[in-house]
Amino acid sequence: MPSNPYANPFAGASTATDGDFQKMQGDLYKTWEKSMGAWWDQVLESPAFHETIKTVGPMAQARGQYRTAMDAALRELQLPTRDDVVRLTKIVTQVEDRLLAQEDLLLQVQDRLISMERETLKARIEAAEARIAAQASSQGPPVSTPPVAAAAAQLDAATEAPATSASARRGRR
Amino acid sequence: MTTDPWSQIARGMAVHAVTPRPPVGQTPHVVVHAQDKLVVRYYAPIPQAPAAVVTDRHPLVLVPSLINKAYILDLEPGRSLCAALAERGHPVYLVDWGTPGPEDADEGVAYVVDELLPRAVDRAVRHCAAQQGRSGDRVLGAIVLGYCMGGIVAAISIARLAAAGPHTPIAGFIALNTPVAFAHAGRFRDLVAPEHLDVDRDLPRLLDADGLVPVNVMKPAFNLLDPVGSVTKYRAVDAAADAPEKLARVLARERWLEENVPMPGRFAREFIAATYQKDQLLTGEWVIDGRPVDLRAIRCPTLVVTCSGDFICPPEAALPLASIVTGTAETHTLKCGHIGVVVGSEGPRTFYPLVDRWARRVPA
Repeated sequence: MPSNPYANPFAGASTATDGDFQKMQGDLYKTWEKSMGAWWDQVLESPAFHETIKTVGPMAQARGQYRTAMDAALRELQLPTRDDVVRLTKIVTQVEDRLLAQEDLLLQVQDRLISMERETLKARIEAAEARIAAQASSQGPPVSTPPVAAAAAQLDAATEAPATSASARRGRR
Repeated sequence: MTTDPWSQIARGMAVHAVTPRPPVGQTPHVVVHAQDKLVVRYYAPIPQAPAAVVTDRHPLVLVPSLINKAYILDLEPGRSLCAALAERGHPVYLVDWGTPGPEDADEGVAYVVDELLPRAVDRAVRHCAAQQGRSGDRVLGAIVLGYCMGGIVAAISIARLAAAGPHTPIAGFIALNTPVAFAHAGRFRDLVAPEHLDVDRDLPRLLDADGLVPVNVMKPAFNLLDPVGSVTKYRAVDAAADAPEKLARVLARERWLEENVPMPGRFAREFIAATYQKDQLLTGEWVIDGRPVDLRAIRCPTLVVTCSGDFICPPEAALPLASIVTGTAETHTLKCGHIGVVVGSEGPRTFYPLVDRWARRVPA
């Protein structure tokens, strides 16, 4: 049976305790916690502390010197250095940026087309309705063509679509 | 077993050292966008009824801090903001900034606020619209939730998008523990105050050979913010040691604290100078890429959430945002700490329902 990784390694251990002693330790702990907090506020305001913090820098610089030496060795061996890989990564990122910029443009065009499609469709319907109304008033008696087919034909004519009507196209399928 | 604090700390240290860390970021998701190191993770809404399809919710775009792993917002079952919001029917998009490399050392704040984040939000909005079968004017804008530094970059980005034109993909903004008044920004401000740190002279010396602020500089800095807490936390480990689930929870949080992300040197220099040192976000004097940052341009509904026990972003550093933005603003101060609000018990009890309720009220 696998052992529980979260099992307490101290489970089962017991220590004799005295109530007063425990209370004293608890009080001591609270005093420590409070005084540490206050002390730390003072430390953070101390100029000496901030000067010491800056000494972390030389460690990073030492690492940089090591890397420079390593790069020189790699160049001698005709192997790509870290800088070469970084340059290559930057080029790939630039290409990605350009592709995403193109994608942005395509999406904007798509948005515009959706908007135009809706406006165009609306205009086509209005034009078709106007022509139907005009034709009906000029011809006088009702036309024998079924209303839907007539409307479709008018729509085609209004938008300079091929001569085949919507009903004819449907029939060919 | 003795209960004195010193023994508890000693035992906690031992347990902390030998216990493996639990897995994190387990909620099922898919990646819907990637650029450079950034990816956008999509957590589909979970309908309440099997046949129900949630189509009336804004996409919720979660923006964590750039110096932390994104899985803080999806830490573990029961402590996952992503999962909690998806379970409440929201389409959730998590911006995962990734880990910068040496090639990113020269990337500044402009790249993040003008390039990466706006495109990530745009793709999230488009993805959500496709999922909901919406197009044109019916597309729902995003509600952006920024956490800490993520909130700062989100605020800047939203303000710049709003200033650019009337049509923005943003419907609402939730600023969680997001400092804007840096004069009140607590101990971190003390640490990087201009009298202690010259960003042009001292910061380059702290960078590693890759031009990044390395994790081994950042971690001690964060420990310095709460040196007592970095010792007393072992009591919590000891207290949880006999309860596997509780211990896994404590150690999941520890894992997040242990796994910082380095920061590009140029970003760090620009960011620290303009915020913690010059406090230019509040005054509108921060100029990025030739354009000033004016938070008053934020016209969408805004929710400002702060935590009374937050020493990284005290409430007085975050609350002024509500009076700067032009849109309607609501503020809440919760009784917890900077991290506890998302991964502590206050998350599922208070914060997750608050975000859910507020997001439902944001108009289409």
